[in-house]
Order: sequence, then structure tokens, then C-alpha cells
Amino acid sequence: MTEPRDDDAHRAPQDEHFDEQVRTVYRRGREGDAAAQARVLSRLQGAPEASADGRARGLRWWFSLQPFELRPVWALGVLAVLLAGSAWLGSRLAPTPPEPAPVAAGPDASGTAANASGIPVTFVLRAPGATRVSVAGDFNNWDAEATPMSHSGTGDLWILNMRLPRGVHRYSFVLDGTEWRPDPSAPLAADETFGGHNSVIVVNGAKGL
Amino acid sequence: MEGAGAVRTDAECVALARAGRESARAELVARHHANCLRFARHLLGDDADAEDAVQETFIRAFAGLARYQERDSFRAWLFQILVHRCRSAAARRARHRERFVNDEHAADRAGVRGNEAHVDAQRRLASALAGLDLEHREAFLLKVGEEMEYEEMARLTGVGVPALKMRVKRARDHVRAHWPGVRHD
Repeated sequence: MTEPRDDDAHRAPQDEHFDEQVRTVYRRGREGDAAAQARVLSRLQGAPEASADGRARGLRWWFSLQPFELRPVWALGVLAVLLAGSAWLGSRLAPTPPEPAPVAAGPDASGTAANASGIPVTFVLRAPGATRVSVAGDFNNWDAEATPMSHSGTGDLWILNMRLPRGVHRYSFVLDGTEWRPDPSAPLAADETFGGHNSVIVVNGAKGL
Repeated sequence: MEGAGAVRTDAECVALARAGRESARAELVARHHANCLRFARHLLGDDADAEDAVQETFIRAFAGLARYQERDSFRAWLFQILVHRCRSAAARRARHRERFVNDEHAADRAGVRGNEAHVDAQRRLASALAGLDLEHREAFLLKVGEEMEYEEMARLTGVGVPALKMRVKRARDHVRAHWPGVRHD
């Protein structure tokens, strides 16, 4: 028997009795529960190991059939975008004078040239009171320890220079190994797995945002 | 460490699962699957949707173990994912115009079968729950069914404690009024 918890302290006795009745019915198992558990294990055997990075899962997704829904009106919109894109591509493929190669990185780019190992980006966070700060994102399998930031030595600034592949990446700062905090200077995207929000960085090699 | 006959804690199983130990994942599934499934069933009111949500929950949980912080229990971590999977499933169903209504088919959709007396009780509970909207049903099941504390519920649902308390109270009043046969003493 556990001691009454604070949040239950003011629960009326009739509520306690009622809750107990509900719980008794709620907790009864049903036929087929064991089979359902077996199906979970079966699916897990086909899933990537926890220690593997997300690339295996990502590759499997790209090569498997994925159901999706599209309203007819949106289909027309997609068609219009495709046609516009085709027209734009056609105009780009026409002979034009050579342009200088792209030289900058995505948000907070350092401005150095991109190379095969990725585009240089800089993460900056002001974190008063933090003793260690890291960046976790889809580029490091959301590992809170893998990519530590460096203290600037003055003030509360933490900085990290790294290279990222082109594309859209989601990330979050991790303070003292436990507190996940979005980047206040970046756009946010809902995290549909864990709730809350992650920050988004678009690494495209173009100058500035 | 695996002592002979020793029961591993969830934290130990998680550490082994992170190292790729299949048996540790199976042990965590065996411990938590039934709780997850009953919650999803009562929340979604549909056996198939519930099983899908629970499968997705375990797959996402094990794929994202690197994000698991041991300050939270593994159960809370799972339920955080499960709540969001169930919300997504409910939203998908809403898009297909299939709404939760208080009707005589609610228990059939919930796939209630088995012992006759138990079936009857579960049918009546499913019917009473079906009259609640998702957010009230979610709060009620976490509090009354899973006996979570409000602070823990707030962390995993993203809803404030005062709002959760209000939802539980309203849901309790509703279920009490719509659960025929229960003793109102």
C-alpha cells in the first residue's frame, strides 16, 4: 500500500471507490493480447537495432511502398507546381553565361566553400548556468553526448562549428545532458514522436538564410 | 550485469537494448506491452488502431533509445510516445469522418470478447468512454486507469496540471453518469 499522493489528497472517498471499479474493468486482459505482443516482437525483429544510426531505417523507408493521401484539389496544385518547375528548368537549361560556384553555407554559415564532407555551419546558444551543452539532431542520431559545443570563454555563449550535408535537418540543444531546448534563433517543427518542438536548419549552400 | 535469477531493472534492460541485445528488447516489450495496449484500446476505442499505435510506439522507442533520459521511467517514456501515436491515429480517423460517438457500436469496434461478465462490464465502460472527447478520455485513462501522478501526466502530454485535473474531474463525472450498472455509493 502506498501513501496517498499529493494530487490525490483531496479526492473524495466516493471518487476513490469509483476509480477502483473503473480500474478493475480497465485492467482486464483480452483474448488476443499475447498474439498482439508477438506481432510487436515480430515487427521489432525487422526493425533496426537501437545502436544503429537512423540511416538504415531511412534507406528502408525510401525503398518500401508508403501509403499517402492527397485531396484532388491538392493534386491539381501539385500538378501546377510540377508544370511551373518544368518550365523553370527548361529556361535554366538554355545556354547562359557561367555563374560563380555557390560558396556559402546554410543558416549561420561561416562563408567557406562547401566540399564533399558537407557545408560548414555554426551553432550558437546563450545558456546561462549551463555546465555543458551539446547539439543532438537527425545528423547524429539524436545522441545527446556525441556533439558537444565549446564554451566561448566569455559570457554564456556556447559555439559549435561543424559540417552538415545539404538538406533540411532537425536538431535541439541539450543542456547538462538532460534539458532539451530548441534553438531560439531558428524555425521550429513539431516533434510528432515525443511532442514539443525541434529546431530546423536548412543547409543549402546559399548565402544567408 | 546478468546475475543468475536476478531480475533486471528497466534501466538495465534499456542499457542492454542500446547495445543491441535482442533479449533485452523482448523483456521490455513483455513488461510494458499489456499496459500500452489497454490504454490505447480504451483511448481509441478500436482494437486495430490500438494495436497499430502500440506497434509504432515500440518501434519508435527502440529506434530512438539514444534520446531516452534515465531521469524518466521507461514506462513514462513509452507512454509519451504512445500518447502522440494515439493522437495521430485519432486525427487520421477524424479525417475519415469516423467520429467517436456514444452509440451501441462503440464496444463492438473496441473488439470486446471473452468471459461474459467481463465482456459486459467492458462493453459498458467502452460505451461510457466513447461519449468523451479524446483529451478528456486521455486524461481520465492516464489518471484513473494508469494511476499516474499529475506532474508525470503533464510531462508526457504537454498539458498543464490544472487543465489535467479539470479534465479528469469532468471525465469522471461523465463516466459515472453514463456507466449503467455501476454502484453510485
